[in-house]
Order: sequence, then C-alpha cells, then structure tokens
Amino acid sequence: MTMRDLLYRDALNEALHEAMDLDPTVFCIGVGIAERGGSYKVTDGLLAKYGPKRVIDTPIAEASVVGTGVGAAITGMRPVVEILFVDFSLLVMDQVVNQAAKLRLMTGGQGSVPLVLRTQGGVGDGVAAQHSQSLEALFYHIPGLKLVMPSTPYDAKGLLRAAIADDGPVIFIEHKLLYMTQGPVPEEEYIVELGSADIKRSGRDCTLIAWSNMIPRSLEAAERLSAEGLEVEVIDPRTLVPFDHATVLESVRRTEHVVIVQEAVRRGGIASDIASVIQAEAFDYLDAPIEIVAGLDTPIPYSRPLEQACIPQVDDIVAGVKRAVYS
Amino acid sequence: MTPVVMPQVGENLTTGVVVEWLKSEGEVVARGDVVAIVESEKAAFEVIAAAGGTLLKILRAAGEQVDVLATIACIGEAGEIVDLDAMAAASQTRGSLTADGESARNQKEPASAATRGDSSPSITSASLTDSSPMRSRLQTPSTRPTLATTETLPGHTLRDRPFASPSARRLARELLVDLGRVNGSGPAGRVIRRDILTAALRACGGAPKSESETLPEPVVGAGDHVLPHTRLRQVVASRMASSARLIPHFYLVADIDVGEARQCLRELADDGAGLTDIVVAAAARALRKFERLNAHVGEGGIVCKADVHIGLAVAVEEGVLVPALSHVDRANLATLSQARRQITAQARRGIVQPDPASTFTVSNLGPMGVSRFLPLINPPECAILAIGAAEERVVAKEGQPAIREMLTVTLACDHRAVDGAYAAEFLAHFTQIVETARDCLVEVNGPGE
Repeated sequence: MTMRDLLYRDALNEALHEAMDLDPTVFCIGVGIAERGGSYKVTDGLLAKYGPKRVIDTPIAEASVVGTGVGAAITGMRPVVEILFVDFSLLVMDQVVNQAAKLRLMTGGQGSVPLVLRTQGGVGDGVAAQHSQSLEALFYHIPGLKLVMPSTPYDAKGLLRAAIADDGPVIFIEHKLLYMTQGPVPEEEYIVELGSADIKRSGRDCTLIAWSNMIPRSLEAAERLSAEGLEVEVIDPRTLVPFDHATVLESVRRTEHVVIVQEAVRRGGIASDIASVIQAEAFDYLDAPIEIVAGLDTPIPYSRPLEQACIPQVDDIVAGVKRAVYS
Repeated sequence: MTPVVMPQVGENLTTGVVVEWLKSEGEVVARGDVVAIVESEKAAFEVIAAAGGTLLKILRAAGEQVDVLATIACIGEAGEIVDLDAMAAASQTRGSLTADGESARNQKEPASAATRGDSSPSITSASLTDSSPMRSRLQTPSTRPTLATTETLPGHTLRDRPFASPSARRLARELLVDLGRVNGSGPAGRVIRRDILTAALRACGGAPKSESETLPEPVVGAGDHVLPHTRLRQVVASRMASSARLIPHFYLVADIDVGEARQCLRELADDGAGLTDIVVAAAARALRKFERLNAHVGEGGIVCKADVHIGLAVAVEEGVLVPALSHVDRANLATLSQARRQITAQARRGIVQPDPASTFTVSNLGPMGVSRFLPLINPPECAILAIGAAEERVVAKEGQPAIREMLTVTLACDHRAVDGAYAAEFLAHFTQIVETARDCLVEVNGPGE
C-alpha cells in the first residue's frame, strides 16, 4: 500500500468522504458541521461536495439531533451524528441508551439502528471540567452499543469506515488532543474491523493496555523504559466494545505482567473491567497484581498544572510499569 | 508477667533447642523483638516477644533441649518478682477456660505455658530455605496470633503458607520446585516468577551443597531467558558434577587399526552393525581379564562385578541416558549388534531398563566427527571408554607409509581403583582384540578367561 502522512482529523474527513461516495444513505448531521466544517474540521468540505440534504447543520439541541439520527437509522439511513463534546452526550442518553441500544432486541432482530455517534472527549486542552471528561465507561456499560476510540490517523479512518458500515449503533469517541497528530495512512481504501486490537509496540516484559490519547503517552513511556532494558508491549484495543480479548490474553500469557492505562477516573472504569477479564482468563499467568494507571477521582480543573496532575502522564505510566514488573 | 515459650514449629515435634539468646536478663524488650533463636531438627526460628517489658529471667540456657510450649523465659516489669508457680498456675487457669483439645493438652503438661491471646509467642522462620516442612505449620492452633498482632509486627511475616504470584505457583508446579523452599523477592515476601526460576537454577546440583562447594549463581537479567533443568537434566547434572568433583580421572589414548574389524563387518552382512559393536564386544571380552575395570568403586574398596554389562551413552533431548547391554562378553557380534540397536532405540524414546546396572560404559562421538574426547566416568563405575571417529590416516607399516582406517579411543579410569600400568595393559589387550576382530564373531561359552 502507498502511504502518506495525514492528520488524524484529515483521516476522519477522508473516511466520511469515502463513505458518502459509496453509500447514498450515509449523511452527516450536527451542530456547526456543515457551513463551518466542524469545530475540528473533520467535516470540512462535505457540504460543498454532498449538499445540504446530506450535510446538515442543526440548532444546539443535542437530544433532537440524535433523535433525528436514531429515527433516520431505523428507516434505513446511515446517519453520522456529531456531538461536539462527549460531555454534551449526557443530554442524549435517553435517545442512545433507551432507544438506539434497545431497538434491535426489542424488534426481535427485525429492526436495526445503523447510527454512528461521533463525538470528542478527553483531557488536555485546558477547557475545564465540563469539556474535559472521559465518559467512555458510560457507553461501555450499555448492552447494545459498540464503542470505538481510535488513537492514530490510520485507525481513525479505518474504524470510522467500519463503524458506518456496521448495522448497530456505534459510539465513536475521538480525542481532542489527537486531531492534530500525524501518521501514515494508505492512499487506498481500507477498513479496520471492529473488535481487532492492535499491538502498537511489541515487548516481552509487560503488557500495557491503553487506548485513545493514552497510546502516544504509553508509547513514550515504553521508549523510556526500553532505554532501561524493560520491553513493554503496548496494546491498543481500538474498540472497547467489542473487545479483542484474545490478543490481550495471548500477550498477558507471554509477559505475565499487566498495566492498564486509562485517562478516565479509575472507579467504575473500563480498566477495572479489562483487569477482571484478565484475572479470570489468565490467572495462572499473572506474576504480579494488575496495575491500573488512571485519572484521579476529581472533576478536571481548569488550571493547566492541576489538569496535568489529574490524568496519567508519562512519568506515571513509567512508574506503573515498574511496579508491575517489580523493578 | 508474660512467658516466652518454646514454639511449636512442626506438627510432630515435641522438643526444640535454644540456640541463642539475643536479649539478656534485665534488658528491655519491645513487643515484636526477637529474643531468641531456637531450632527444630530442620530449621531455625526466631522467638518474638509477645509483650514489651523487661526480660526478667531466662529459664533455659542456650544449648538446652526444651519441650515445645514450655516456658523458656519471662517478661514483665522491671523489679517484678518472678513467681514461676504463679505463672504455671495462671497458665493452668487460662488453659482450663477453653474446653478444646489444646487446653486439654496443656493440662496434661503442667509445665507448659498458656499460649493463647496476648501471651502467644510469635514466630518467624529464620532460615526459610530449609524450612519447607515447617513453613506450612508455622502456626499451630495453640500459637496462632491474632491478626492485630500480625499487623503490629512489621517485618515479620506470619502466615501458614508462602504468598506467591499465580504465575510463580504455576511455574513451581511445572518445574517441581517446592514453593516453601523459595525466598520471595516480591512485596511482603511474595514469591514471584523470577524467584522460582532462580530456585530452579539452584536446584540443578541436586542435594544442598556446602558453602565451599557453591559456584557463582547465575543472574537472570531483563531479556535473558532461562532454560530450567528437566528432571533428566537435573540427574545428569548431579551425577556428572559428582563424577568430576569426586573421581580422580586419568586418561589413556590408543590408536587402533580397524581394517580387520571392517572386514568382519562386511562378512557379517548386517547394515546396522558397526564399529561400535566391535568396540563393545572387544571391551567386554577384555574386561573379563581385567576385573578391576569391570567394577563399581566405593570409598573403601571396589566391587568386581561378576557379569559384564556395557552401558552405552545415548544422547536424548536434554540429557544422556545409559542403557546397559547385558552379558556382552558372551554374545556374538550379530546378537550384540541387534541388542545394541534395540536398547539404543528404546533409550531415544526415553525407556531404559533399570536392570542390569552397567559395569563399564562406552561413549561414541565418532559418528559426529569427533576424533577423540575426554569422557567423565559414570559413577559408580571404574572406567569409561570414549570412541572417536574412524578415519583413514597415513601410518608407517613395515618401513613404508600406508593408508589405514584408524580409530582413536580414550580410556578414562578412576585412579582410586586402578593405576596407569594396569589400565595400559587393558588398553593393549583391548586394542589387540579389535585388531583381530574375527574372534568377536563367535559366541564365548563358559566363564571368563
């Protein structure tokens, strides 16, 4: 494949272009996505190419926007709905949890909701407590939803294509700090299957599981640890639902030491659930307690230094790995 | 006043020995202090003060053997009068308050102190590596401290089994390492994977070695990987280490013309038969005349074996097996060769009959191109013969250079049992038999020469 470097946001933009080219039922809807091209420019150029019937600006009325999407999806459209901040998705929970997630089961499999809810979350832009949350665990908990959190331009594009093609409701959470990161993306079309983890870095000493913006941070920690002779295997599940347990367990059985890094608050988080699966499935291979490096139990402060102190930094990850390997 | 008692450190132990007092009479002790070291048959243990105060009286001196649970010292307030009768009475009373088997035993042994509650002694193993049978019984019901006691004694781990990571437990099962004998390097003494690997490395020598015999321990670094010894490897390692360490080896080398032997093999018309068979047959026949080399060597003498059973070193995965060819001295070459191939094939599948025990061993690295090598004797045998590769060499024959197929053999002997001249005679006789190989074709009847 011919590769070129793309920004994360441009890779997402390409995925939308390709999906809309391919399938006339795909349309985009959200606040400021058409004329403005989205706050992070992910939907840039779509309006000009596909017109206002398929690229729709809405008022600031999240529940109605998502409700529109759910309804359209039930009738056979493939809406890509954007909610600018994951924090605002709390306004659409009824539409997502009570309607979108339930319909397939409640219609005995006759109905489906091929909706993609694109949103953006995470800490690190100095945008304070109401715009900095990592709320993936809320969606993770709900049966009937898929949950995707890409960490690279390549994954972002391939996974968004897969999410749009998927027949179930998919929550697609981008990270505000990743939009301007660059990485190789093939010229050709491709899809990254939902439920396939990616080993971002191979290593023999410790399995580190992270996703979204914790991946670049974990890779930096792994580089630093490598200089000290510790080889960390960094696994990005890429999709948290469905979760690729096989790849993780294979790695754990090899390294026997596990660190899970999550930006979100530890309590009730996805890391704890991954840990519970690992201890159940690979108990006899664990040489140390599973180490979870997670955000502190606090709303995110506006102050930059405090914001940084609240979520895992490279130093924290390095320390977590060292604890896990008794180093 | 609080008694210090001889701990019960094993289910079946009735006595222990006071090894050393670490506190002297009149000295102030804090709760949790180690006051004495005691020892059972198998390990030493620390005796910990169950209460703070002054060590008022040492009742049993170092070196004394004491019944378990008997009072060996008492702790109280400075100046307090030591009233042994009162203490014994107190222990009686406390013992009778509980109606279980333990108190019943206390009543039968008036001298033993009560060991419940605050007066229970706390013990930890001082030599964990030798204490595996003890370790699981560190606390008998009568000496079990409360959890609170445990928590107030930092640095002293009180538990009835070692903490170990799941991985360490699994590995210990796989490598047959006794978890109780492993010192944990993880938090709170947790045994972790690398501790098991280290223990497995150390176990390769078999029995525990004395200080002077230990070699530098290997260190497992990041990125290294460990090939723990299999059971067979452990046996080979142990026996060969003993052989090299304890047997004074000496070596004699001979070059043998195997032209005649080749001719015999051709006449035998058995593709499977080879020079190994001729060498084994010749060695067996020669050994009938040199009984000191067909022997098992002991410290005070040697056992000259009645029969000749030649062991064959067979390389298998992770080790060497030595199946024995029985009564080789009497067999003809064809029979011997067939039997040799049969036991070799079996050995490669891991099957070796324990009987008969070999009396002399032949090791052949010739097929692998080795021209000669120095073998280690397979104890308790007296000698081993190493066969190198048969190859054509230029040799002087009757004043002329000639090309002959030659074989170099090396005989290793135990100098405790035989000397050079005797071994040289054997080697010469052996050489002659190989060079006139025809004799080996026929069966030998009756006893040796």
